[in-house]
Amino acid sequence: MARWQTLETDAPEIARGGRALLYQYGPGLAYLATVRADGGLRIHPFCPVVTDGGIYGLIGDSPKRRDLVRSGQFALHAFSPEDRDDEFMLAGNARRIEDAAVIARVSEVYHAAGATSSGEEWTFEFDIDRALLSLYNPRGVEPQWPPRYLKWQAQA
Amino acid sequence: MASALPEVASASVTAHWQDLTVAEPAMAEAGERLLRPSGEGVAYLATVRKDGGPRVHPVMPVLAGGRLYLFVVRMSWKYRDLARDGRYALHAAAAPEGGEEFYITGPAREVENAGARSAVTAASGGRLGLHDFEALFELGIDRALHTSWQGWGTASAWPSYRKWAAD
Repeated sequence: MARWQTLETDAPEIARGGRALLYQYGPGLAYLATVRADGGLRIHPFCPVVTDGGIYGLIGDSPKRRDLVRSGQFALHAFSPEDRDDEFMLAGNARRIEDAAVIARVSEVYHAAGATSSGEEWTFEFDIDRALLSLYNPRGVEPQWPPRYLKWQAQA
Repeated sequence: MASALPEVASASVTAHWQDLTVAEPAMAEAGERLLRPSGEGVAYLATVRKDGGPRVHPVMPVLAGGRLYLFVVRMSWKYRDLARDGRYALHAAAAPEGGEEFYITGPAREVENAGARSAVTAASGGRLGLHDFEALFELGIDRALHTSWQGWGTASAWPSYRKWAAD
C-alpha cells in the first residue's frame, strides 16, 4: 500500500491525469465502491480530496462508512469526461484519520474546492494498492479502442 | 455525500428489472431516466476481485424485454470477476442537473441465448454486442435504491431514499 505521494513520484503521468479527472468538474468527484459485510458490494458517489501527499474522503454516517471501518477495501473511479471515455481508478485500503491537524487540513481543502458537508463526517485516507489510467481519443476521433492503458501497482 | 442511510436487509431472491417495474413503477421510471439504458447511458459497475476487494469500471446497460443487460469484453478483468463471482453493484452516472441517484445490486449471470443477444443489440440501437468477444450478462436485482436530494448543491442538502428489495 502507498500514499498518493508515492503514486506521484513513481507514476507522475498517472497521478497528474488522475487528479485532472477527479477535479474536472470543480470539487473532486468519484464513485466509491466498498465491501458489505456479506462480501457483496456497494457503490456511491463521493468527493475525494487530494492534498498534502494523500487522497482523502469525508464520509458521513452511512453503510459505506461502516464498510470502510470494517473492511477498508475500496475502489474509486473518477466521473467520466463529457467528450471522451478516459478512466481513472484506484484500489486499496481506507483507514480512518484521527490526527486533528490532518482532519482540519483536509476539511479546509475540501470546502475550499466548493464541496459541502454536515460537519459530522469522519475523515479517511485511501491507501493505494493499484492505479489505472485509460486514455481515449475524443469521441468522434478514430480509433476509439483500445485506449492507452497506464497501470501502476504499489510495491509489497 | 449520502448520510444516515439505513442498511437494507439482505435479499435471497433475485428479480428481473420487470419485477422492479411492477413493484415500484416510480422507482423503475427514475432508474430508466437516470441509466438511459438504450446503449448510450454510462453507469459505474463494481465487481468482486479474486481477493474480495472491489473493482469499478464504466459500462453501458441495456434494457430489453423487461430485463437489464450488459455486454462485457471477455478479455477484461470485470468479465473474469463476473464469471467467478457474479455479485455486482451498479450506479447510474450523475445527471447533469444533479439531485438524484440510482443504484442496484444483485447477481449477474451470463446469457448464451442468441435470440436474447440479438434483442439486446437491437435495443442498443445496433451499437453494442456486434462482436463475439462481447459477452452478454443479465443483471439480476436483489435491491434498488433511488435517492432524491432536497437543496442540492447547498450545505443543507438532505437526501430522501426509496428502497426496494426482492423477496
